[in-house]
Amino acid sequence: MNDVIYSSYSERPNPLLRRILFAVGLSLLLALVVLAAISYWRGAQLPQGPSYLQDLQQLETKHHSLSKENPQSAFVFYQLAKHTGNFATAKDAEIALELFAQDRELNLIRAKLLLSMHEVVRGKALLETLGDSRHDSRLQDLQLDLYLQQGDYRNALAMLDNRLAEAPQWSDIALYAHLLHKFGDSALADQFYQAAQSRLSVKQIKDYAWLELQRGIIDLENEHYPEAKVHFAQANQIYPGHWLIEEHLAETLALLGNNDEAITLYEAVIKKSDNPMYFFALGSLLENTDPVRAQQLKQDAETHFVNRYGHYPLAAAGHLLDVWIEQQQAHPTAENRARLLELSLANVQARPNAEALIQRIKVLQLEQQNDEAQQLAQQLAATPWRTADVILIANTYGISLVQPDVLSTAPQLLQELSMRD
Amino acid sequence: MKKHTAINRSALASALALALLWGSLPAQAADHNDPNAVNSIYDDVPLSPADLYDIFGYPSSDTSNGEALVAQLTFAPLPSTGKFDPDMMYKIHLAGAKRASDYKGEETLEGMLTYVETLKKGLLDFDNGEIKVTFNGKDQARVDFLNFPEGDFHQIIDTNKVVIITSPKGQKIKAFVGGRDDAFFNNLPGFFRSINYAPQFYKVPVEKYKSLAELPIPKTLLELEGNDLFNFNPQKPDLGWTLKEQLPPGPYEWKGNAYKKDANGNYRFVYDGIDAQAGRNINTVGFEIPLAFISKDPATDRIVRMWGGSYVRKASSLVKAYAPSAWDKTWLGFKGMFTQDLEFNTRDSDYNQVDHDGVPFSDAALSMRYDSHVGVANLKYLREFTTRFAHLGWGFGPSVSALGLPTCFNHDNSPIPVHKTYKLATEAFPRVKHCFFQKLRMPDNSWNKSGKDIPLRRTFEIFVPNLTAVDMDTTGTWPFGRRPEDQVATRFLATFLDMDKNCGNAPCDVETLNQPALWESAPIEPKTVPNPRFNDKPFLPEFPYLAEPWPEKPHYAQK
Repeated sequence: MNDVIYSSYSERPNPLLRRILFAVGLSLLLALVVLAAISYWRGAQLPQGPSYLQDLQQLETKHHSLSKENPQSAFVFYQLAKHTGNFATAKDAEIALELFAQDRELNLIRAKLLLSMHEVVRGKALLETLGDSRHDSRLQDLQLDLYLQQGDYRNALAMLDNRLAEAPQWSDIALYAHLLHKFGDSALADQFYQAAQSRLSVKQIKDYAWLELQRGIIDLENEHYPEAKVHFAQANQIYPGHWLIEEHLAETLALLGNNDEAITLYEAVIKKSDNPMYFFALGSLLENTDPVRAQQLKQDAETHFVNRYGHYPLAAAGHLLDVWIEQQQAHPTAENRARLLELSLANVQARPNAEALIQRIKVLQLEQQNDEAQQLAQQLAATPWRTADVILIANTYGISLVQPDVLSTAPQLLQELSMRD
Repeated sequence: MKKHTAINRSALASALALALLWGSLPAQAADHNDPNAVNSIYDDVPLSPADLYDIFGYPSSDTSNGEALVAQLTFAPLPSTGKFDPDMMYKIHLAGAKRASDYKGEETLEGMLTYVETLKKGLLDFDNGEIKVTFNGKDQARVDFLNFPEGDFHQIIDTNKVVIITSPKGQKIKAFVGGRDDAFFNNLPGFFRSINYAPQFYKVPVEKYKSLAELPIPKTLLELEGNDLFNFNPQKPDLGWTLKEQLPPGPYEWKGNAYKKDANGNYRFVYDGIDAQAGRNINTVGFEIPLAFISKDPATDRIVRMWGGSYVRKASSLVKAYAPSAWDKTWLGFKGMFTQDLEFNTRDSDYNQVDHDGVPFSDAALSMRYDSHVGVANLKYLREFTTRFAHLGWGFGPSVSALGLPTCFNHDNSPIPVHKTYKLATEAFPRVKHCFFQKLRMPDNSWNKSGKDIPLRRTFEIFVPNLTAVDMDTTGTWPFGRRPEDQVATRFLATFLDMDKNCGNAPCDVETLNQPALWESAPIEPKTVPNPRFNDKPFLPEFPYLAEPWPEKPHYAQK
């Protein structure tokens, strides 16, 4: 045996040859590494897309360069508000827009701002001064939003159907996708989102990122977390740094158990956004490892809520009602109970849509007011909304749900849209 | 975990609220749109390199390399004159065909529709070669020749230079991709005044392209008494030229019953003959191509059908480039070291079509720039063109009669224009029948350089399909092609003349309205042809024929 081993050693290549081979191999490897490095460097020189911070800086610079007397200044203020999602900025933008109440275009922007802040009464009143929406797709956008906030799904769908039949825009298709998801067909919704994406040009890359975000939200809501993460990560790469994308990515990372990454991302998000939701979420993640900071973050969330509530009460509350409902389920307090009762009622009165109904029903259930909850559940079942919450509520009260008609016609519509591409 | 579910829903709510905020205004989407989406006449639509202006096609006078076709597509000069947007792609389609024989069918709506239906296959289902032009943002263009008899090939060329491209079988193709003077010479404010087109004069957002573009006022060649929105206002001579005002509130209907006349009893012409495009530039992709390269059988394929398209790159095609993984970056960088072709994206699936150019004036005059009407296959719109032509006829017909000229449009001797719309082609057809079927008379025989028996074209044959059919046995002057020096806007107006009758001492023809003498003797002010007769810069005697560009004007980039 040993002989064989020795024999084998004796057949080893000449040491010089080995060294040469080694040197050649090393040189080749080095050359490969250098080539890869050069290739990577060249690849990194490829045109880069827009980023949240870059856009923010541009808007701020533009805003500072304009005088308040310039109508353009009010518009840029509005753009700044929509970019940051900051309620105080939105309020300032609203005031700035109001200074040009004779300017129809700026009134249209103001109506849009008000509706997005759930100021339905004021938004509707302003919208009514802007004339007939039949031939103006921007007014139709606002009217559609109004219908949806008011829970008037029949009129919303009729208007959307008309637009899709006549001259479908990507945003119409995206809204249709959102509704299909809420009506219970997420797979079809995703196909509509993809159809919308295919219509975007390179000049609309940010809108592409927004649609990618929406696709992720479908997966997130359906608890398909790895798939959701892919969409959010892609959106974040296309349009890096946007707080809304980062927040969804952080949330998904947490759900996948990657708490450290989620915490890092949430830390970045709360530097950009005053949304109390994100402070609350970060606080929840830190509860076990840093209870003091967690407590502080939840207090910050409360402060931000109060500030936002002062500007746009329904928009501020609407986003937090779900959290408070869960808090109330786990740790009931009188203060929480009072605001849940008050705000869920105010919300459902101003915006009697399916989401507001769901929140109100949950609050009533907490209060054991089952008769009223059941009554609202009947109202909810009459809408085409078919989310998990709706199904749960319907089961609770033994209400049978029928499939919304739109789900049977949507595949044909998708085919037609594809043919028109 | 549960608390995150709750957070998710709330975050979604904010995401949806943001949909209203983050999302672009829908009408700006640049996908599969007709020019309205890129029609910068609208106050809120910026100039776009996707906005095609003209397509020129005619036989070249240079036959040193055999018969050749000049094919040039022009479009908005963005990012600047002679510079090209690497996110754009342009195509010129070319197909050889035999000349159709003269129409022998019944002069009825059904006859016309049946004729078109019969020819559908021949009109649309034909093989066509395609010249595809893409850019790398480094003053170079990649020109791909696809589906021509010699097979596919491409060449990368410098922009703003005449380049000779040699085909695989040695044919010489001249190419010019660059900036030039705009070869379109036209009194655009006059045309828009004639159709009461508000966006030229007032700030109208593109969303109102159906309700507030052409206001419900009769079309007319002569100003209407009390049509204050559109009549020339000496206090505001720049309105519609360099000035746009807020559109006053409606209603906009015209309540008058007479033409406007001056103290001498003269009508006021809606046109003033001034060239609105003077001093403006365009970008162009243009070629001079041997006919033998386009067709296998140039001896019998005497017609070349051509049309152009603009395409903008889809966002999805850029996702990899905007969101590259480290591997993607490395791979792209590596590939880029070995081939320049990678700088050009030639994949059709990465682009959406934006605009189409085929029949001159078709977009504005007939299709009303509707999104749905983009493309060469417009046969199905022939009924719609009938109602549209009748609508125009109720405006232009009485105006022509008022000037003492014969019109082919049956307006029941209406003394003034009428704002009339039709839903049914059957109802409109009797009014336009003569206009549609009459042969468009040419002023002399110079157009027929071969002396062959070539039938004059009829109006309805020009509208469908949406392409320019160049007759290689003619000079290629409109409607036998389109030469840069053709005053096509005025020739389009001439389709409302009765060409079986005399205009003065001679039969009316496509050039009648372009004769200064006609207007000198007409009871009208200003005494001018409708549109300028010549381009603001002389065309060149050799390829690329279009004149050198003017010094860059900042408004192109700044609007």
